[in-house]
Amino acid sequence: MDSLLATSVSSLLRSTEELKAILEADAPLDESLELGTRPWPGAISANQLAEKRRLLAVPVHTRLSPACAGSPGDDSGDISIIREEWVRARAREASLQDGGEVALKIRIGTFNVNGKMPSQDLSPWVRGIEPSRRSPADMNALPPLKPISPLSLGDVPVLERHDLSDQKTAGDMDIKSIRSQVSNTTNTMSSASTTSFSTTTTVVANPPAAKANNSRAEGSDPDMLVLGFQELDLSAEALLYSTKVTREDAWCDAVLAGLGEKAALYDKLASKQLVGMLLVIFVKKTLRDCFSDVKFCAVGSGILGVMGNKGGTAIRVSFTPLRKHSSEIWWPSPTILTFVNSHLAAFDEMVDRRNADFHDLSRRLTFNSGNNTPAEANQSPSQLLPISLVVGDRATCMMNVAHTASTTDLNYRIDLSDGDIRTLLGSHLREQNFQILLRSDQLNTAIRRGEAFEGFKEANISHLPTYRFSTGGLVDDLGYDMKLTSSLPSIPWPGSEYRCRRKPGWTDRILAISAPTASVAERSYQGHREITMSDHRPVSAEFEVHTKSVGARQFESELRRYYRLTADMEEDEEFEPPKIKLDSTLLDYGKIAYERSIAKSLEIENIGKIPCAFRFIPVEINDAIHPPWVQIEPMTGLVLPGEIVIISLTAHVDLPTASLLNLRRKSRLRSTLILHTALGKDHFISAHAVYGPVRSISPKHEMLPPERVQNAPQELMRLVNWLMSNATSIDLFLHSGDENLVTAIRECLDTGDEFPFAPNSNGAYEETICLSFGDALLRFLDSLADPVVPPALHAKCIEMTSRDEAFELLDEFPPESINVWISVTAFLHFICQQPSTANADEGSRQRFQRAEFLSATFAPVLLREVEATTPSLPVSPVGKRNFLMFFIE
Amino acid sequence: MSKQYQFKLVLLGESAVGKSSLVLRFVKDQFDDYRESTIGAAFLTQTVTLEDQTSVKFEIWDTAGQERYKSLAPMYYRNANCAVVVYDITQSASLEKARTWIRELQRQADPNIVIALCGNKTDLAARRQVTQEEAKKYAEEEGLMWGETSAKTGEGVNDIFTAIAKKLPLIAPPSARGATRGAAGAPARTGVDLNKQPVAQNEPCNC
Repeated sequence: MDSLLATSVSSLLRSTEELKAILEADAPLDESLELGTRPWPGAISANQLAEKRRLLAVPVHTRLSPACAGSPGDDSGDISIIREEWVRARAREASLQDGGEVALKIRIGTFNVNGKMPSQDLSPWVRGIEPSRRSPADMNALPPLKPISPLSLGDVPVLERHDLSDQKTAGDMDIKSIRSQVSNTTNTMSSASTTSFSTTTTVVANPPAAKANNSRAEGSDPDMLVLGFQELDLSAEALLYSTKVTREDAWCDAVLAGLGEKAALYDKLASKQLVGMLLVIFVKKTLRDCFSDVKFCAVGSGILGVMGNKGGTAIRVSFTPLRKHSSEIWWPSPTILTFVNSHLAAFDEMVDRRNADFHDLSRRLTFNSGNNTPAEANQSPSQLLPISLVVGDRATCMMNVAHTASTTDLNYRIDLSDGDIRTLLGSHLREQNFQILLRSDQLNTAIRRGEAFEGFKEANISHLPTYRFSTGGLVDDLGYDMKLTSSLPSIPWPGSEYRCRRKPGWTDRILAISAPTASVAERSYQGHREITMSDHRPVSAEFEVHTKSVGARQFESELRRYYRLTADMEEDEEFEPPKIKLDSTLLDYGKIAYERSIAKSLEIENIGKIPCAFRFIPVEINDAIHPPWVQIEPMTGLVLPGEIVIISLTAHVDLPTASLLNLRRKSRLRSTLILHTALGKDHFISAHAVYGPVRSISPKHEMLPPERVQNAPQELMRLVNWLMSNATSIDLFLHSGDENLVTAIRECLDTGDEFPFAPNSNGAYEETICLSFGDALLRFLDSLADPVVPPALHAKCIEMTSRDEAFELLDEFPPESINVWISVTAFLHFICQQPSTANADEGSRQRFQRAEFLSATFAPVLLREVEATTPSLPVSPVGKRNFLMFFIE
Repeated sequence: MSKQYQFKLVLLGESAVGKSSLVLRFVKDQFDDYRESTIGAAFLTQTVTLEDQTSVKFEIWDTAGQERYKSLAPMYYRNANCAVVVYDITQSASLEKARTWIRELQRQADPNIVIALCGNKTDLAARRQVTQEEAKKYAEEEGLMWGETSAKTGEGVNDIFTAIAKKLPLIAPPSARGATRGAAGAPARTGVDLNKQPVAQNEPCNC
């Protein structure tokens, strides 16, 4: 084991140059990898190493030298990058071991405890109930507001039976055996059985290779439990003397209590506290030896930019699956896992400060890269590696997975008015509302705009906002604090009402970033409303990190083999430029249209004598490599002499591309793609397509020549008419139709052909067809060059307070918009009025709900926001719905 | 010590006039009867040593002649020190095309660019459509270098490149940069004329 770790550390330091040196020296592998015999190559400084790590998270083509037509950039440098990538990928592929995959299951939690001491059972948070185990009805409904005692087993058997019915016999038997096992071993915590059962099905997905000793029952428990706490201690003394561990102990005890009988399976591996921020890692005892190289750091960014009331703590740990003694399979380098627990600046309007905090933390949170190896001892302590960059570096890993997860009270809020947020949350139309709320979420906006947390991924949020709850005092129906706060910093903010209340928000988030070679899957993401002791609710997420084992010897020899195959690519005295042949230089996509992909492929054959590294380059240095409507995969690569590589070039017009193309004056798209072979030629590949007509409500679109504009109202009427005559009896828009049918419908609209559907023997159309027409209508409206209601009128729309006022406002609509508006809303009104089976009272309630649902679905489309004209605070989505309600209710 | 220079040269001209063949003859002294048309731009180098031991290294961009790629040509002639505009002596239309290229270069390329007009395929003199007098007169009017070549037999090929090699060091202004090949092109470039700015290592593009 020790030598294995030494090896992994040495591989951390190994550069390409070294590997090439191995190539030449035919020394036995293990010795050549021993750190002691391989001095740190002077050519590469620690800074460059850090640079390499940072680069690994981005695609290869973005790491190459800047180049354009006629200016190839640094071909030699590009060759080394492309070759290294290629050699490793090939060697890895060639030396994968059958069945040698390990899935490390990590459960991550974040909890802002608001200075409280533990007073509730934490088991929902630390153990969780997998969402997949809930019935669909459960998923759609809001979780109950009252705290549920995890000890009450009242409804559990029902759930179990429901789930069991879906299982195959084998699984059934497992569950039974576990049930008996559990009931034999546990009598104190009856809730334990719930967890055991509910997770049994995933056992199969957890390969046994690394954990030979694990019983199946414990196979589905997380291997690692990583918990981040914020505001552990709010006292002023804590800020000054942050050495107390009493609260840490109390919380760790609470965690173990929450784990119940499972607590016996875990050991505390590490913890790091800075004032109120605490990060704790528990690991399974059976896997304790797999974790090593634990490193810590903490940075305060609170008061004066240094105090620890805000900031971050981080732990990095290496995971190496245990070697099976009997076989050759092993993991030549560890998976590096980094966990960051951060607490960023508070308050709505401090979003820039939060973004700055993030960048500050990613710069300052550094791990000492370890003084335990002779080579690294030579580095000055200042040469540390920034955390956010620790995403599987190539140097670390021969084939590495590395993974950074961030658990945080990020304090990012939602950029909508307090009233809107509460209304949207309180409504039963959860799916639509969450979409709107999450679109205005400051963190999502920051990621989208590349302002912070770039490259981080977050699972879909399907839980309610986790902040701010009140313990007593004025609360709304969902329990969110309604208290007026007056002590906010006086930062100018439009509309004083926003300053009055703490808006509910998703302040507690779990984000992850991983190296491109890492295989990380997020299994769940949940808020735990049943834990009510703080003004925040805890959040948990489960990840699975897959590590594939390779035969280490085989990998090394493959590595050598591929390096040898690609040794002669540089210029020298008798240099012959690489030569390739393309099977085609013209890609004609014919007619392309919105949301339809056309795939073409291109064969690159190496007809020269040396391996050829290629890359696509732009025409001008700052241009995009390809036009937005063509996607190229891969963008770089390497072809050995005599070999063929196939590139796929797909024409696809998505919504953003469509809005770009809609504004062009010509429908004919022509583009030249340039394939550059390093130290060789620029090859031109022409891509042609004709972009389908642009649809606009107005027959004279101000930006477009008349011949490019197609009369949208006509097609809309076709869709609306069809739906009116054939689909009013079903719940349209509630479910999605069939993608192929939607495409077929769109094609008929394009060509003017009859819809190719026939009613069944009852004279009715199948439900899927009807639903697909509904989808087609929504997407058609969404793809129009302009929204039906001109954005300039949106603010006015939401001011309307009565049906009469609303109808009067129609006079201000452009004539074409009026027609479309009236047809669509009349149709929606019509389907709202469809009789229901229920009695009168119930019926009118149902109709109202239906109208609410339809307005929530159509308002964002009919009154679509246009990105460029969006003010800092978007026009209230609730107001838009209310406006539409006047017409359809 | 002998002087060494490095210049960027671009070949332009209508499709099928023999640009690539001319380069192949110049660089490798080879000829290929059936060459596929160039769809793209090829990069090659060749060094000419003059009588006074001055050596001139040409970094040559051989471009596609087809009309559809015309819009990309400026990317290749920008920052070029010299351009060889090729026509086919058996096709008078190709001289017309050459005139178009020359007008474009005079308008858009580096003002100090040295332009050479080159009539290729003298091995097919029996089918000549462009007389020497006509071409020469045009070249003189426009202040261009002029010569006739046969890539097939090799006749005149070295002459025209040598003539350019002799003329360039006299004309190339201090501001003219070398080729844009960057670090990849030449591993060691000692002795580049001091009048010229050093070739920027790693600089991707002079745009």
